Amino acid sequence: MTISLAWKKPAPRGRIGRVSSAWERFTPYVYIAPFFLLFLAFGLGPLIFTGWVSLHDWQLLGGENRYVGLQNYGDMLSDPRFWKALRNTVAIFVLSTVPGMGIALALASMLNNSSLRAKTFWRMALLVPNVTPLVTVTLVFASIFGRDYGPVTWILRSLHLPTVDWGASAMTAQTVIAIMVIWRWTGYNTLIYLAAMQAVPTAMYDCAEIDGAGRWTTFTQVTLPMIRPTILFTVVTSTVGGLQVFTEPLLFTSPTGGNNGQGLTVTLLIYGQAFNSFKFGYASAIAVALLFIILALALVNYAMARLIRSS
Amino acid sequence: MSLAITALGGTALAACSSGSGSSSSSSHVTLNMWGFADLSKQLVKQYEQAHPGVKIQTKISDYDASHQTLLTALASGKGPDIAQIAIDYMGEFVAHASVFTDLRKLGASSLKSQYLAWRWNGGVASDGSIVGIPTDVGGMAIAYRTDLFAKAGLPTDPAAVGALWPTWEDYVATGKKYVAATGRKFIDSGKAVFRAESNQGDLKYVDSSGKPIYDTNPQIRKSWRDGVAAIDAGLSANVATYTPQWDAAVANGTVATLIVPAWMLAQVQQQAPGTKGKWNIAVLPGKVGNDGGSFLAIPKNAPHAQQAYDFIKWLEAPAQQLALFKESNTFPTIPALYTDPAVTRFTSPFFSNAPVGKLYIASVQGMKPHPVGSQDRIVESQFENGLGRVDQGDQSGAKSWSQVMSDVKRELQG
Repeated sequence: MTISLAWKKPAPRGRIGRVSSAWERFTPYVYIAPFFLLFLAFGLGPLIFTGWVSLHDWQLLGGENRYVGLQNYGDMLSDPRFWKALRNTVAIFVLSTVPGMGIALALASMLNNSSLRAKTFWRMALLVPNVTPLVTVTLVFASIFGRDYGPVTWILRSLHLPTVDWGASAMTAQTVIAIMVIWRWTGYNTLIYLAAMQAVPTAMYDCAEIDGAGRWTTFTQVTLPMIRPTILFTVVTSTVGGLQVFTEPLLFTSPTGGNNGQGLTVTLLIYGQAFNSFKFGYASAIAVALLFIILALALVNYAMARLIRSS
Repeated sequence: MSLAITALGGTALAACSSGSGSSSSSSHVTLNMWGFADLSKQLVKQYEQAHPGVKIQTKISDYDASHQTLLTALASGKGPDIAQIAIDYMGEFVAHASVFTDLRKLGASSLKSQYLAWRWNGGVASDGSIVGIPTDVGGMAIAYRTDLFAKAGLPTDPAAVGALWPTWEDYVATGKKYVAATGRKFIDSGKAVFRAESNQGDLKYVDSSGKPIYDTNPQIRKSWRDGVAAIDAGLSANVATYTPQWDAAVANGTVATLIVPAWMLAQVQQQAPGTKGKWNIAVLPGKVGNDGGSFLAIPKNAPHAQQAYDFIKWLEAPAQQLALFKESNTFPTIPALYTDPAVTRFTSPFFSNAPVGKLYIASVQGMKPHPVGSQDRIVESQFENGLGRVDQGDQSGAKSWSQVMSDVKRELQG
């Protein structure tokens, strides 16, 4: 009530000016408070609780929650599944992010072409994979890469090549999962790059043209350096998302990540330990570890961003 | 304004209830039932008609998801009135009997004598409290393709086919002959053999005191050996149940035999309607067996425990179990029905009029119960993953076994 009053009637300078400027300094916090209150309740609260659970042998259905200190963390470090999950997650991340970003950059620079017709259509189309339900995407890709049937097997057969059991080995399973991630996120990144490219002053391109730079040189010497901060932003969001890839491996392999853990990612391991093995303390420990891994990577990104700005 | 409406509504309601007189407001209850397999809608409707005050709302989810939802709901002190729990998950839930209504309090002890003893005991906790009432058993048999057997020069008559495989070694040997003659596959996966055979002993993963014996139990070792032998002999098509590959393999004759629990017969008919009349059913190697089936339990905080119990008692009574058997082949847990002509004379036209009733009766009647540990399901999944690795050609049987041993050990820790 008072807030809206203060906002509606800018106080005249003078006697009550000090009060008003205090309000002005205060109001932004009030506006962002709803988010932070919700975050406290649904973000930070559970986060701290997870940390608490990770120090216990947690029984979901009654029984004593025995305090075990850091034992869950010790178990985690000596658990080959944890390291396998971490390796797999990083592999899927690299397999999906590197090609995905290359494709997104190429698409964005094509869409940035001023002579392109039906621009809105292309831009909208790029977002379609991102708004398709993940489960549907995964099931479609699983049938595309079926072992006995499916288009890929059909093509291999008609070329008289041996067929592949895509879900069986680590290499192929992770490649297929990476393709699903690329399919889903490339359009999204393209639009972000496109927005950044359109913010590049046209004068820069004019100069490049006068200097006789070709398309490729213009792209590498003008466009890329200008949108570098945006690329960094997408790297950060992709890192956070990529380290939490879950639905694709769950549905493409199995809740245990396949017979040999070939599709086991960190989040899948957390899920499996919690809801399949009912070891909530241990699962929480891995979740906390994942949090710190993501934080560390975000810090690295932040440091790189500062480096870029200062250079 | 709104106050007035509420007041008015209140009077109208009061008038109504005083008018009808006999029915009290507490008799109108909605029972929430959570499960993974749809219990007959027909039976539910029948019950609702006979009990006008009771409505039953069923929520069916995926197999694992339904148990996980139940677990988290129970952890927060909520849950349905009736929960369907599969036998594989029952060990874990029975170990936490305190979150369920002890059905002894509602009079379930008097039902015990009606049911298969080993099956009933699966729903009883170590302190004697009754957690769940058994719904059905998954008696076991072998379904085989008569047309493909004939082509391979094997007998096609069920008695003669059953005589081919008194033991699992004989089953694998028959498979070898079939594969040599046709170049096709004999079974869906190596783990199917393991699953069926490991259930036939009087001990499985734990001894009677609950101590893990998965690494030393000869029954487990032998089942593993036979599963690996089947894979190594090239018998397995390596398709997992509930996948499109499995459906396709069954429909187009990639596999010649299936180790089928009673409830799976309906699935074969659904997924491979074109194979009608090409199947027959023979006895399982080792004869006895069980795979699957479930219990109905009442969470401790269920709002309508008494009404829920009344419904369960009715649904699992002989007449209703018989009705469900006729409708969807889920096999009754009540031995009195095993002499009922409706069961003994039950044949399935889809499976060349095989005497389904008789075969499945034989398989569950001689069944020796084994103690079930609270973590058997998790142990089992490590063994199944292990045979999956062999089936996939990732590992040799010996290498996979040693990984299974260390994987199980890790899962059982803490």
